[in-house]
Amino acid sequence: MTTMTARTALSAPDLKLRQDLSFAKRGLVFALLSGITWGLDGVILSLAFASPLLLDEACWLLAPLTVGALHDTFSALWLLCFNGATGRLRELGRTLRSKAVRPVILGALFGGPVAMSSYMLGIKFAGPAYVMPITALYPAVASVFAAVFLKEKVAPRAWFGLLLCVAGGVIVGYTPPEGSLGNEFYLGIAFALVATFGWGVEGVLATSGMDLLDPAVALNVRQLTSATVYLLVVVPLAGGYALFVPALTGAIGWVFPAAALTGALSYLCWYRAMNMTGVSRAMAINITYSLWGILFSAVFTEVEITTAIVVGALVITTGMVLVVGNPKEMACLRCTK
Amino acid sequence: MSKMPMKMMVADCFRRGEALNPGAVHDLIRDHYAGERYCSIESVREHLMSLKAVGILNDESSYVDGDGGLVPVYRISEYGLDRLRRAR
Repeated sequence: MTTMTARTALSAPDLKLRQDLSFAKRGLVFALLSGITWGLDGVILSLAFASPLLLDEACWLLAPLTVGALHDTFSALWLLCFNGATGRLRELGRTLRSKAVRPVILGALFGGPVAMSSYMLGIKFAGPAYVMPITALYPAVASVFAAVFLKEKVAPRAWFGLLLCVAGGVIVGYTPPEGSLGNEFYLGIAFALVATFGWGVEGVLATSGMDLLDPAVALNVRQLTSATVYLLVVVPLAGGYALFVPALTGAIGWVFPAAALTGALSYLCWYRAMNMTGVSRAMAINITYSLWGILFSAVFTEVEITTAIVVGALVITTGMVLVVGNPKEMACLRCTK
Repeated sequence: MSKMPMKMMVADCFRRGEALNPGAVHDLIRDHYAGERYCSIESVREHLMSLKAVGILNDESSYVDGDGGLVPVYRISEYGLDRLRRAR
């Protein structure tokens, strides 16, 4: 009764403002959930990477790409189940036949096989100490593209917050360099830059497509595209399907569907967040995955919480507060007038 | 006939410049997606809020109905018309 009285006492503009704020805040919650679940996804996948099968030096490229292929394939299947359960399968067919899906497919190619393969090659040639800080810049790259191509409005405070989130991600993920720089070092840096560009541009292309497409369906297209290219192009080029059967039938077989389920949930939240709060905010909050990953690792494995991790966590948290700022700014995300 | 994705169809309802509320949009599209659980008034509301957030639709007005619920009314923007043209 009290609720009804309070509800009817509000004017239409007040109710509209409340509705818009609720929509924007839900987007922020989705962004945070995407970071948490991506952190968990990484921890589950690390169990696969720790297996002797995938640690073989001869499979330094094939192993991570096989993991990527299995992850995105299972993820696409989980999303087909989700879209089937929510009555979206016919929408998936309509979406695949529409012109509006093209940027989503292009984004899938950049963010899936291209970025992931480049990341692995970058790690191989230049080492994680240089590649991880470079690739942690992808939210900043995405935000610049979003401001230029989508005309997304980002307040100066939010830009500063975004830079803090990126800096925090670098601090959390930093590993000291080992040994001297080889001849292939600059090639590795170039691959790292391609990966950063790929992940950054994926968000902008996907968000552009989702202007007129359902995020859950767009994501299913993304994962189907990525899985197809992995299976038909990337994995054969990297050496073939030799690891598929032993990986799926061995002790780590359960890891792939489990990680893919967490990954599908993470991507679902991420795509919805980009659509609801804009690319820059969603990316800035999503990058907290590095923090969540370490927290999950500390709980489930034996990772030590270092001073750098605590400092990185504080920097990321401060950045997130600045990015979120005033949710009223999110009622309209772009300068389209 | 090949149907367009529902969110795009929701935006397309505004192509002639009319101001519409979620109920009116649902009435316009439901025959195109007959028998589909996905074509609900809740889905239409969600798509309208998303289209408004990215600037394809603008708020035209809003009012409170007899049950005390908010009824938002939207109209397409110039940017929205351009996006629709490019997507067709």
